[in-house]
Amino acid sequence: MLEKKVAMISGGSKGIGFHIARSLAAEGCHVAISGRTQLDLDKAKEQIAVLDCGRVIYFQGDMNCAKDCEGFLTAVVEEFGGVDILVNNVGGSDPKSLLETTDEDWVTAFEFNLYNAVRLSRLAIPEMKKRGGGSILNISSIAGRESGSAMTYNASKAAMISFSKALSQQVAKDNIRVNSLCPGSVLFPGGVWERRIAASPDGLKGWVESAMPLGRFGRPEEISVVATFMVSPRASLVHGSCWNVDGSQSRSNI
Amino acid sequence: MDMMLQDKVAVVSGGSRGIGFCIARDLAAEGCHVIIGGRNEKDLKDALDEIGNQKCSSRAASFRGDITEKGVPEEFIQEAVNFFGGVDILVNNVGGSNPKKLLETNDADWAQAFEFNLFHTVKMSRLAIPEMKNRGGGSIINIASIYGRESKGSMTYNAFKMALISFTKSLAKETARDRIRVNSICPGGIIFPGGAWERRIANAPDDLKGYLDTDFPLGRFGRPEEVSVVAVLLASPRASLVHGASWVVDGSQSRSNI
Repeated sequence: MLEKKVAMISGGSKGIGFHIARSLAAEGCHVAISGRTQLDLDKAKEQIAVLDCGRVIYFQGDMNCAKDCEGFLTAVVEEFGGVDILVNNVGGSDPKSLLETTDEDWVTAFEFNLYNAVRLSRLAIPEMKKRGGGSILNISSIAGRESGSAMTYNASKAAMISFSKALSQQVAKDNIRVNSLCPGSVLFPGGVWERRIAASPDGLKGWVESAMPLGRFGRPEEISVVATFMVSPRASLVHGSCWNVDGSQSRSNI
Repeated sequence: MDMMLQDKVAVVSGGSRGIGFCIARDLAAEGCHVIIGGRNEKDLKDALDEIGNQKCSSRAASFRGDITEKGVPEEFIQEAVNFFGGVDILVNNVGGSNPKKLLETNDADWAQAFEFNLFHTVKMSRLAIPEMKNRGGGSIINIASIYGRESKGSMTYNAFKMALISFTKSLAKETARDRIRVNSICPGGIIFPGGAWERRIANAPDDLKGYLDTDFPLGRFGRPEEVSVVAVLLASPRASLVHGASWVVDGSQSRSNI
């Protein structure tokens, strides 16, 4: 039921965002990917071009910049006529403890993990209303639900989950579903875990053994299969939810 | 999308009506051989007929029994093994509520709620897991409720649905290395023929109108097929990283952010 739906994915040139974009394209969506560097966008283009899928456009811009958010939305509407699906995937962490952080670190974390999702949602919702509904998926983290990662990351990812739920109450009657997806630790080329493995004496084997019930990192395609379902019209009752996809890495029962 | 469920064997308790029936039907449509459990012979027959009408290649069977009675879980799992050679998917769907407040309950009410909402799930899981190990893995899906996560309505139901979610997470830790995934689905208010909400609407339709407006952002109850589509994903090997999760499917009815 995703054929010809228009999907925009922020931070879609690498990792989880890229796999979500690719999965949606493979289901027949027209897809728009944003990324900060042309090199990453070109690599994404090469990988998607071999698929038999919907049309894909690539937007170079920084979603932490309000003007680029507007530019992204405008490009999507100009190319595809509207928006049905928004995946807010941009985000990242900075491991400083409280006494190491400056005010700027806190502002940056909320820009990077929350505000771009707020801005893009605010821009996309009127377009979705014109088309009779839509779906917004916010890629948060298990670190937004319980402690375990960097302090500013945890707080801003938690805020993203709160924002998801509040927004879901506001737009329910407009037939727009809003959800968050919380991955655990996912390994992909160019991602933070790849860097941490390289920097670790035992390649993080000890940590993986103790922290990961499945004994391994997650793979980005294991996230994208759930994301694709969540934004699909088949998930018609999935609204205001916060779904873990983490191989039971997190502690919380709920 | 191919859900990779062709020829998997699914056991669905409480599979003759409502959410359990829809799960069994949808799994069968994806190619699973299913065995549905229920207490009523006619309900089971009607369910099998409807599953059969889908004209899928897989087979369906039924098992009549009360899963809270001694020996019945053993017979149910044995029937699945006899019919289909093993078990890949177990859906623990039986459950239900009793609206008594604390001072109205007696000890028997608590024991009954424990049996009806939790204990059969423990027994069925204990029996199914060795079968799943024989086949190299599997998926256990426990149908809990949003009222296992937050509070409204029946005290005893809430307590044992929350216990069910706790059991799900603990079991996930134990079975992870056996490639058996364990998850729960937490539906909100779902309406279907023969279900509790249908009875409540029949008894007090005006009460319900106000409730829909205040508690249901989508302005309606959920439908069982909106839950079963999620269960199919959880059963599928494609959901390979979904383990130890408690997924809410409620149209934003519940209050919790997480």
